[in-house]
Amino acid sequence: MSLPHPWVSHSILGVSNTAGQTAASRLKVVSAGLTDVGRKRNHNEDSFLLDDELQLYVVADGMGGHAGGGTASRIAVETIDKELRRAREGKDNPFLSVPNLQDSPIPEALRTAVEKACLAIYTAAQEDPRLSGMGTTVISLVVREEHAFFAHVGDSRAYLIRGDLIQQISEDHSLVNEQIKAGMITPEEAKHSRYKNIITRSVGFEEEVQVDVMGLVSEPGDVFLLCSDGLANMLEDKEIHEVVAKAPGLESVPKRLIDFANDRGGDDNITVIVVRVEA
Amino acid sequence: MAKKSFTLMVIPDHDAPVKRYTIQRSFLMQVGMGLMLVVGLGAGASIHYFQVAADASENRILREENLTLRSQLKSVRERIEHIGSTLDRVERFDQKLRAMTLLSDPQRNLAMGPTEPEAGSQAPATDTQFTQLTTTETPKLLMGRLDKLSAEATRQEQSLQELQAYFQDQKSLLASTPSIWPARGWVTSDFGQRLDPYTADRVMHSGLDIAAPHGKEVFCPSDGTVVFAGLEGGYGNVIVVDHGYGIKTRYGHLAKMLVKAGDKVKRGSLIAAVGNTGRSTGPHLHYEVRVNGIPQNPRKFILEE
Repeated sequence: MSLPHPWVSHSILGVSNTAGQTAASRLKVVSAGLTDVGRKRNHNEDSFLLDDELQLYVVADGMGGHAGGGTASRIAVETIDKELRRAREGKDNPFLSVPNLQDSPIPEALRTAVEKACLAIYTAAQEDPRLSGMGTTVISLVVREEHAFFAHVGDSRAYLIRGDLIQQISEDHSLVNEQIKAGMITPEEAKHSRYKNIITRSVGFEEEVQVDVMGLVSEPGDVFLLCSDGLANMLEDKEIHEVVAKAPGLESVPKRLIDFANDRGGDDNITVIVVRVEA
Repeated sequence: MAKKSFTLMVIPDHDAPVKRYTIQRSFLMQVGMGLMLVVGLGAGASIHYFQVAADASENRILREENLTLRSQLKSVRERIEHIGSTLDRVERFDQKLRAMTLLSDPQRNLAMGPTEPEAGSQAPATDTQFTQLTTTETPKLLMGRLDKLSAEATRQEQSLQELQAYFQDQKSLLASTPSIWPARGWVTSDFGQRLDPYTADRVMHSGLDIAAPHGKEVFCPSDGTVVFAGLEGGYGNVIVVDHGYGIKTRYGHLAKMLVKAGDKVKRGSLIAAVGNTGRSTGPHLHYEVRVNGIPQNPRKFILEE
């Protein structure tokens, strides 16, 4: 099996501005994304996807093996995109609009897409011993009219920035987060834990994975931020909020955040996607 | 050489014989010197007398002055005693407040202890240390007392300021504590280990399940900010409220959410309606309290029945 070099960014890179797909759509979406190798690593195993046509956004942070991590994250973003496009063409199109958040089929479609990605990565790893043990985190976002849905595995994060509020939507599937929940360590200690890179779930490491899905009703002006732990571990939530709030335009936000994280040391690959909902 | 003696003749009238006294010259000298001495002494004595007399009149003035000073000193002492007892009261009040708040102040406790016990004497009890003023005290000692008092007053001022800040803080902490039931209903499943209603596995239940009819109101049990309102896996429709101090509450399986992320809510605000969304077997509210991320028994915080 021939694979592209892992540090080539396997992503649709850039800034775009697309109005929603249907006439019924009241809200449009603007997005920007960027990835960076950071200061300490010599190659980038993160992948990201900006699909403004589907209004699908994915960040994946690969890990394992020398070529495995980049491959796993690339397979993840490609599979999720492919699966959702296929679902849209199918007879049970999940992208049809529904009035209620909880009636939307998108969370299940997203979950299925991530599960398919998991199987695809696992299969690829089985076929090539050099890739065995690879896996990836996935944080994905689909914006559908005023609804926003997330599917999440691992320690990449989704944030909602609304006015003065910045809130982490996804709950990290990491050892330190489990320790915090069990009361073994405090959030403060977690920041300096040696084990903060250990994740408790990953896409593709096993044949199946449990996917968390979330959904919320968005408002004009909301900014969704997806990022790998290379950003989240370097900056405080407050600092992220400040950068987003002070940036002159959405396009400049990923670069500013990556520069900030690199100034702090850039311990890991850094990937940032920002998506703003506009009236 | 001059004659060494004089002869003094007393010649009385008529028939009495003439008496003749012979006086040695040296004797005369001695008498003269004696007289001079007596006169000198007399002059000295009279000068001294006049001086003493003058002093005596001054003494009367001084005595009056002394009396005034004495009474002034007494009133100062009384005033110090008064300040001392006031400080004692403030001190006791302060200690009571501290006991209430369980605020510890080791440095202060040290200062209140018997810091410098005098040999053979009991250290003054805390409630009398400022009123222990006796009339035998010299003004110098009094100055020492005053210094002590002013130092103590400064310390108490600091202490009370600290307490005030604490109570202000406490006020918002109390407002942030989820101390009322978020919904009226039956608690069908308590916090702790339980059998999973789907799988019958023994699992941790991180909240309270309050069974209530579909659409029943859910109230926010304390002040805070809504940080999440949306779908989240098994919780279904869930609202997460951040109350500060690391306290967050979650309301799961909601039918309707009446607030959105970013909204400020008060204790008693209507925030949602009970439902059956997510991983739920019937309409109920899943109510969860997390402190610094750790799920805690919500009953610990509920003060009303």
